[in-house]
Amino acid sequence: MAKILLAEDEAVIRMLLVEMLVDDGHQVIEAADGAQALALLESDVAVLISDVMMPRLTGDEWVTAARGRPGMDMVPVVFMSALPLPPAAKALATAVLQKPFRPTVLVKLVQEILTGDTPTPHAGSALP
Amino acid sequence: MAPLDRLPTGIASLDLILKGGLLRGGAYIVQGHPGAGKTVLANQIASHRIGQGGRVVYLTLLSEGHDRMMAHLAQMSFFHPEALVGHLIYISGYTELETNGLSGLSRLVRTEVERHGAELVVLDGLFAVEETASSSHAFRRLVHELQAHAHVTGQTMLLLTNSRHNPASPEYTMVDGWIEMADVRAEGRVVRELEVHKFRGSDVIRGRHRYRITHQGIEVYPRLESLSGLQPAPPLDTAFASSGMPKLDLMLRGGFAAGSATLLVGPSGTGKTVASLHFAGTATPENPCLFLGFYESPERLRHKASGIGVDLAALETAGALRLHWRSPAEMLVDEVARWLLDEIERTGARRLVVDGLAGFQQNLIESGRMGRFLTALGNELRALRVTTLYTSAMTGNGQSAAPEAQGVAELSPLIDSVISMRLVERNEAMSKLLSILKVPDRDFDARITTYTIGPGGIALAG
Repeated sequence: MAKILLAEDEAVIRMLLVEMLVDDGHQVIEAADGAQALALLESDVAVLISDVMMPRLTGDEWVTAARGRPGMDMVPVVFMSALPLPPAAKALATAVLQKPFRPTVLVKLVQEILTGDTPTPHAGSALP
Repeated sequence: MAPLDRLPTGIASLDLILKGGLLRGGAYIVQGHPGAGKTVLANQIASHRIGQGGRVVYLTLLSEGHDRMMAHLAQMSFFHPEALVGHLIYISGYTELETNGLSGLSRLVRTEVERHGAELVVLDGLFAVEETASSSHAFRRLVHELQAHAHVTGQTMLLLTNSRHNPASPEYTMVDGWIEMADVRAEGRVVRELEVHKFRGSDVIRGRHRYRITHQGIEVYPRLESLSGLQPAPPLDTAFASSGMPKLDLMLRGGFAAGSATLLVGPSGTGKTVASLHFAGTATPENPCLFLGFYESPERLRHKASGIGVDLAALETAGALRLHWRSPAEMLVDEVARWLLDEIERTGARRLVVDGLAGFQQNLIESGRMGRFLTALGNELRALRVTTLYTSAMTGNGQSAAPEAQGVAELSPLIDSVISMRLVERNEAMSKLLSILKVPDRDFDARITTYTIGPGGIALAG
C-alpha cells in the first residue's frame, strides 16, 4: 500500500482510476488540475500520476514544481496523455501511458514502480 | 475603411461562405444535434490555426473524453497529433463547473486563454452550462462574459452546443455569430446542412449549404445559386461549336452557339447519348470536352462511340476529352456542380456534356429547385465560355406530337436551344424524328427530319 497523488481533469477518468488504485490497497489523493495537485501534495507521496493537459498548471508544470520540493526530487512520475508528450514532460517521466489504456495497466505499472522493478512496456503504454 | 481582422477556418468553402473566415475577437455559437460534426469542425479549424502558428485551448464539458475524441479525430487527415503538442491544449472544465459554477468556468476560460496565449478557444458542450445554470439569466450572463472577453482580448471563441433555441433567444443575440449544423430528411434520405444564421460585422453567403464529413474532415458545398453571378459575364461570342453532325449544324445554321446550352430531349432509344458522343467527338486539345455521365460508364461510352466511328480513347489520350461517371444515387448536386466547375477550370474544357439531367433532378431534395439550379449552373458555364449539351429523357413513350420531357416545360426558358428526338410509328415500323424546337436570336431549320442510327452514327435525312 502506498500514498499516490493522481491528477486528472476529466472527472470520469479520474474516478475510474482512483477506484482501481483504492481497490488495489492504495491511498489516493485526487486532484482535478495541476494547481490543485501541487496544493494537495504531501511529502510522503510515493508515486505521482498525472494527465499532461490540465487547467491552471499542466502536468509537467506542476510535477516540475513538485520535484523541487525537499525529498521529492526522485519521486516516480507516471504521465498519461492522448497526445504525444511534450519534451518537458518526457524528461520528467518514469513511465508514460498512452490514452486510452485499461485501468489495470496503470495498477500493474504502479505495482512495478513500488516494488522497484523496472517498468515493462504494457499494451497501450509506452516507456520514455 | 480598414478590412476586418479575419481568422480563416482553413475550410475553403466555409471561408467562402463567411467571406474570409471568422472574425478575431468574435464569439460564435456552433449549434447542432449530436453527430452533426461540431467537434470535427472545431478541431479542423483548430488544426488549421495551429498550422498557421496559432495556439488553441479546447475546453470540454459534458462531451466525449479527450482520448476518445482523439481516437476519432485520428481517422481524419487534418489531425496530426505531433503538430499539436504545445500548441493545442485539451482540458476539461466540467469539474470546475460542478465545483464553482458558472463564475468558476468563466474564470477558468479567461485564465487558460491567457496562460496559453490562445487565438482560438473552443468550449465544447455549452448545453452543460445551461443545465447547470441556476437561471436562464445566469446562463446568458456567462455567454455575455465570454463574448466580452473574446472581444477585449481579440481571441476567437467557438461555443459548441446541442441545444436549439428560438432564433430570438438572447444568447443568439449576444454572440457575434450563430452557425447551425442540421440534418434534413427527404424521401428516406438524410443530408447534412450548414447555415450561418447570424454573422455580426460582415456579409455572408446566406442559405442552407450541404456538407459532408469524410476522412478529410468537413467539406461544405455552398449552394450553387448563392454563388451565381460572382463571375463576370464574358464578352459576346459569335463563334459556333459543331454538334459533330454536319446536317444538324446546317439546320442550326452553323452549330451550337459558343458558350450556349442546348437540351436534347427524347425517350429512351432515340439516340441522345449517341448524339452527345458525336458532339464530344469534335473535341480537340485546344477545345477539350468534359463528358459527365450519370448512367453509362466510361467503358460503355467508349464501346458505344467506337460503334459509330468515334474513338474516345484516342481523344482521351490526346488530352481532348475527359470522361467522368458519377453515380446518381444519393449524390449532392452542389458537390457535383462544384467539382464540375473546378474540373472545367482545371482542364480548360470548352465543351461539356451532361448525359442525363435526371441525375441532377433526382438529387435536388427541394422540389422546384431545378430551374434555379440550372440557371446558376448555366451562368457559371457561360462565364467559363463552355458550350454545354444536356440530355434529358422524356416521360411516356415520346410518340406524342409535343413530348413532355422530364421538367423540360419549366427548363425551356433557362436553356438556349432545345432539340427533340422522337419515335413515331409509321408503315408498321418505328421512325426516328428530329426537330429543333428553339434556338435563340437566329433563324434555324424548323422542319421535322427523319434520322437513322447506323455504323456512322446519326444520319439525318435530306
